[in-house]
Amino acid sequence: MDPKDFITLAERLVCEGQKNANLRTATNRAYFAAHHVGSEILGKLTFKIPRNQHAHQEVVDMLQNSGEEDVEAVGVQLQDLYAARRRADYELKDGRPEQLNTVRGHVTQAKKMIASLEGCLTEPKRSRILGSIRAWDQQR
Amino acid sequence: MEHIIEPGTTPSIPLQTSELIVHYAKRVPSVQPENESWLLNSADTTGWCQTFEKIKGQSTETIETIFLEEGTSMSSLTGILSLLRPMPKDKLFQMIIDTAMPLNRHMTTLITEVALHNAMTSRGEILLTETVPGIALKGALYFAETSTVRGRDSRVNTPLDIDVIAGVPLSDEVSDFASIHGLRSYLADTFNLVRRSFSSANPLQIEYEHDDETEREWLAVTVRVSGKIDGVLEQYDAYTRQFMRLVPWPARRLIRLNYDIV
Repeated sequence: MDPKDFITLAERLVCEGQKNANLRTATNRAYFAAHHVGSEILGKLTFKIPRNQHAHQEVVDMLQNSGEEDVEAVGVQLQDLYAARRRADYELKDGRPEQLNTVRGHVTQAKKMIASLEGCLTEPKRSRILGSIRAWDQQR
Repeated sequence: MEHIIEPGTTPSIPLQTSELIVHYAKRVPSVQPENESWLLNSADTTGWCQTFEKIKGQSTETIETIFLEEGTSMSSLTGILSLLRPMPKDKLFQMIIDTAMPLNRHMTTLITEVALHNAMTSRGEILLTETVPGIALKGALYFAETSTVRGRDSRVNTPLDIDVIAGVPLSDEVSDFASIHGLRSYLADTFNLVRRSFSSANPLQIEYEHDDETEREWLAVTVRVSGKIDGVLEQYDAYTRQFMRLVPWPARRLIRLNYDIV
């Protein structure tokens, strides 16, 4: 499936009204949309992303060491969104994940991140990113 | 560590000002309404004198109203900054002891304002040395049950072991995590950057978070902002780019930002 469908779902959940479960799930879906797009693109760049819980940090770390400012910024924002997603999923007594505008922000943010990530596959950016992540990967 | 100091004596051992303040505050459990003499004696700047003239002789409620109406009260800030900035620690100690200043809530509020103002305007390079946030935050928090200017959070009630970075009080858990991972200076930079990046007057929050899914942990800074979503996201983008310059990878894995748009 296309991970961007998660964004469509997140938008629909937000539009359905201020139901707390919807809002929390929208943040979750927004995160996973951006994460999977990031993972897919790194895969197309020939990097292996583990298929387990370590995938989250791996994608973030690779993006943050891509050598391209806009892509590295996506890496930072993706880990921020992960933290928001964790709160939304697990901290049910915390009302912050139920703020409508915050959740709208998360969804819009994820769309912006996806748009940035999609630019990674065009040359010459693609080659630069490939080189930077490879160099970083060999050093770690 | 606790030192015993008799009122009216000069401390003979080096002390953190905050320790003295807290110690002294503990000795004066009843908050006097206004102990004006030390303010009068020390009020050697125009700004502070003007503010003092306004509050002199007024009831507690009126004074509070004046501060509320004036907000941060730049004249007070300017005055008290001028007053405290050049003052050596020992003189500050002596002034407090001699005048039996009971840390009334207006003073603690004012000094807190100074500390926060400094932290915000000098990017963590505390103009008044590290002693003033100690006075301000620990002293103010000691009387946390009193109201504070502009509705600042006054729920904290255990000031004695509060750690503070760039004006933000840290829980023990956050403080320990920051120290263990060498994040203290990065946190100061982050707090100041968040204040500069987002149009928010709300105090920052910082929490330790552990993720059971990935077994990872980090510190989450939360900023509460009001405004249009697109505007906030633009501020967030600008923040992110500056954050990457200030906090290198992998340290930046351990500091995360959450915005709450209200």
